[in-house]
Amino acid sequence: MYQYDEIDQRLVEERAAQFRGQVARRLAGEITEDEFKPLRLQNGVYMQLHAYMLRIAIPYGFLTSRRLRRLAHIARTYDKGYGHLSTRQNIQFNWIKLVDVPDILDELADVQMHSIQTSGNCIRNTTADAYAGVARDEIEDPRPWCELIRQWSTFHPEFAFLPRKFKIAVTGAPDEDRAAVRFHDIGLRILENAEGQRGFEVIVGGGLGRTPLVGEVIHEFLPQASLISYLEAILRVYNLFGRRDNKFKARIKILVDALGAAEFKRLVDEEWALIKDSAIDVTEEELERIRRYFIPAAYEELPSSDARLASFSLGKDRAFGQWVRNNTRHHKVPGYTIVTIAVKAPGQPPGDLTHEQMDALADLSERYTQGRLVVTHAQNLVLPDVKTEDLPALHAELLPLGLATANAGKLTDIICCPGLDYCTLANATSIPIAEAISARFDDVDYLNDIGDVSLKMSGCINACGHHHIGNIGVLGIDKRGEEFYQLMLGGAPGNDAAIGKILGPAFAKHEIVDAVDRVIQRYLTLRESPDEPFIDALRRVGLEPFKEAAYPDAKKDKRPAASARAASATTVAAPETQGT
Amino acid sequence: MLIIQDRAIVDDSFTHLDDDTPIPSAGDVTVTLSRLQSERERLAQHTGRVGVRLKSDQLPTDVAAELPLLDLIMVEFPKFTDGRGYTTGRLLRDRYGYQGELRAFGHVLRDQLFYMARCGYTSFVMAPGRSLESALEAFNDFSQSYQAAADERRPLFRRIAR
Amino acid sequence: MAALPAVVTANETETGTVVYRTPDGRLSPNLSEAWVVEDAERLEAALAELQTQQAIVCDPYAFPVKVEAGVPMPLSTRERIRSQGPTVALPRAS
Repeated sequence: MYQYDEIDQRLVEERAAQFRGQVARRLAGEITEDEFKPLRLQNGVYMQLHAYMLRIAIPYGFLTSRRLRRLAHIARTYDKGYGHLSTRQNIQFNWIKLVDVPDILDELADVQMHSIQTSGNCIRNTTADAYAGVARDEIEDPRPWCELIRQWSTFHPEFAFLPRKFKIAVTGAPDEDRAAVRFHDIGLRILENAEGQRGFEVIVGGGLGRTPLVGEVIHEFLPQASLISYLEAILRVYNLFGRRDNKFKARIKILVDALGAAEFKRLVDEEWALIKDSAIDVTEEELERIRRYFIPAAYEELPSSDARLASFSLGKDRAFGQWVRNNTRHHKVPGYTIVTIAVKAPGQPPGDLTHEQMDALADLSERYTQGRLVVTHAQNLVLPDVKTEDLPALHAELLPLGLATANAGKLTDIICCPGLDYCTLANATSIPIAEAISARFDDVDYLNDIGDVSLKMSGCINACGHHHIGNIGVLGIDKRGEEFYQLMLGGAPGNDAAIGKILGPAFAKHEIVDAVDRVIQRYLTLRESPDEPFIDALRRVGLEPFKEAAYPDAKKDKRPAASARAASATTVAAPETQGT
Repeated sequence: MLIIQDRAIVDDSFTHLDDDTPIPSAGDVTVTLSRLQSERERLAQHTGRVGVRLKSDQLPTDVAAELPLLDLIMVEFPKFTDGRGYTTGRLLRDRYGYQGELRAFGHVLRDQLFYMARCGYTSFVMAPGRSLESALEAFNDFSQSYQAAADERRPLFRRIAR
Repeated sequence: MAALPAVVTANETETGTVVYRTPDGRLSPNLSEAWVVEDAERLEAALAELQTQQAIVCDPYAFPVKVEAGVPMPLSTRERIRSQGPTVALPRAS
C-alpha cells in the first residue's frame, strides 16, 4: 500500500487548512453559495436532500484496517453511524455538518486519506480492478499507475475547471475487465505485445448518464512510459474544445462522439507530439519508488488450495459451501483465496456499512488478510489475501456481523444508487426496490440456480447505479409525481461491453419487482442448460421473449415506436422533472 | 484601478480600450484581438506599452504571431468555472515562449489564484468587491506541487529525491 | 415559482439541516410549523428575503403543498421524503 512521504502528507494537511478557511469565509458571508459550491465539491461535499454529504476518496479502492477504523470513527462521531460504498470505490457519509468537515479532513489526513477531487469538474479518484495485485489473470498490477495518476491529477492547475467531471479507470487483467474501463472518460488496459513489452490500450469517451456510450480506442498500444504526456494531451484537447454551453453535453464522450474518434485522436496526437518525451513523463526511478509500496507482503509458502476450495464449496455446511462457491475467487499465490464480502444483506441498503461493521471488518482484516481491504465498484468489499484454510473460521466470524451473505455476482448483489431517499437529483427511490428484490429472491439455492446475472438500478438518468450496464437495468423515473421504473436488459460492463435496451413502458412501483421476477422466470424456461448464463441466453434469443414475459397483458405487434427506440437506446427518455 | 501583480497590490497602468475609442498618442493600452489584428501597424508604432485582451474561447494560436508586439496579454475568465484560460496560459508560456505580463480578468476569485499562477499568470484583476489583501494569501495555499506547469517545468519527482 | 399554496424551504448553511420558514419569520426543521403561503407576491417576498441570508441558508425555494387537518403536506414525493427522512430504515448494528 502506498505510504505518504512528508510531501504527500503536507499537501493533504494544507488542503484541509485551505478548506477550513473557505468554510469560514462562506459562513462569514464573504463568498456566495454559487462561488462556494465548486470549492466544496472539489472537497467531496455535496448538499443532498436532507443534509450535506461527504464523499471520501479511497484511491483505487484500497483500504487498510487503520483507515477503515478511522472511517468507523467518522461515521460514529460526525454522522448517523454508517457509511455508503459508492460505485467508484469511494465511501460517502450522508449526514455531515459543513462546520465539521474541516475537522473530518484533519482526521482523514492523519491516516493518509482525503476527499480531494471526489466531486467537481476535475479529475476524480482513479479506479482499478478490485482484484488488483492478487488476480491470477492479471499481467501487471495497475495500482502503481493509479497512484502515479493520482499524484499527477491532484491539484493539477490546468485541469481543475474542466467542462465537466473526468473519471479514469485502469485494469491489468486483459481477459476480464472488472473496472468497466469502456465506460469511463478514459479507460486504460495494460496489455503485453508479442515482444513482451507492456503498453496501454487507451479508451476514451465512454460513459453512462443521459447519453450512454461505449468508449472508443484511440491508442492501441501506448508505451507505458508515455502515459502522463498522453493523458495530458487528452485533457488539454478536452479542456479547450469540450462544450461549456450545456452541462448535459459537456462530458468528453460528447466531444469524441461529435468529432468522431479518428478526428479526436488526430487532435490528441497533434498535441501529444509536442509534449511527449518531455520532463512531464515519469522516470523509471519514480515508477520504481511507487511500485515498491505495492510489493506484496509476505505470503507463506503453501501448497495449492484449489482442490480444498472446491471441497469447501461442496461440504456439509451448506451455508458455508454456498458462500465459498459464490464469494471466493482463486488467488495468484498458492494457498490463498480472494474473498468478497457482499455488502448486500437482505433488507439492507446495498453498500451501506455500520460503524460496528467497519470496526469488526478492520479487526478481521488484521487477523485474516494482513490488514488489507478493497472497495469494489459493485459496492462490496474484498479481503484480498485470506489463507484458504482460514475460510471456515472467517465465515463463522462474518455470520453474526450480517456480512456473510452468499450472493456475490448473483441477482441480489444489486448495484444501487442512493436514489430519492437521499439524493437531490433523483426522480424516484431505488433502495426500497433493491430491498424488495432481495427479499423476493432471498434463497441462495434459487439464486444459484439463476446463476450469474447483474442487476443495476438508478433513481434518475444520471445513472449512478449504472443501470445501462446491468444485465438487468432498472431506472426510476417520475411520471406526474408518481415513481415509475423502466426495465432494460442486455447491458454488460466488461470486455463484452454493451448498453442495455429498454424493454417497454415503465412499471409502477408496485409492479416492478413482479416484472423482474417474470423476466427471470422466462430465462429459466428458455435457457439451453443451467450453464447458459442470463446474458448469453438473452443474446441468443433477443429481447422479444422477455418483453412478452414482462408485459403479459400487452397485445402483440403494438408499440413499434417503442421497440424502435429501444433498439437504438442511446438516449433514455427524459423524465418530467429534474433536480438542480 | 488596483490589481495584483507579482504578488503585490499595484495600480493598473493600462487603459483598456473598446473597439470604438481612438488609440491615444501615448500611454499603456490594451485592445481586443480583432483590433490588434486590424490596427497592427498603428499599434506597432505606439509609444506606450501594448496589450491584448482575449476572450475565453480565443486560442493561443490566434495571438501567437503578435507576441513580439505585446507587453501584456489579458485572458478573460467570464465565469470562474470556465477553465479554458488555464490551458491558454500554459500554452502561451510553455509552447510560445511568451515572457511578458499575463493577466487574468473577469470572474477572478481568490481560490483560483494558486492554479492561475501555476499556469503562468502574473497579474490578476479581482472580481468586483473582493479583498485584494486577503487574495494575496492564496498564493501560499500549497507549499509543493506534484506536476509540472508553467511555473515549474519539472514534476516533483525530477526536482526532489523522494 | 411554485404553484400555490406553497411553503418556503432551504438548508441551513452551517449544518445542512432542512428548514422551513414559519409565519413569524423563523426557520423551523418541522414542516408542520411552516408558513403556508397563499399568494404569489408574499411568496416572492419571502424567497427574496431568504436569498439575502446566504450565510445562514442555501438556495431557498418554494414547493407546493396541500393543507390537511391544518398541516401542510407536500405534493411531491421528493418533498415528502425530504421532510420525513429516508423511506428505508437507516442501517443499524445487527
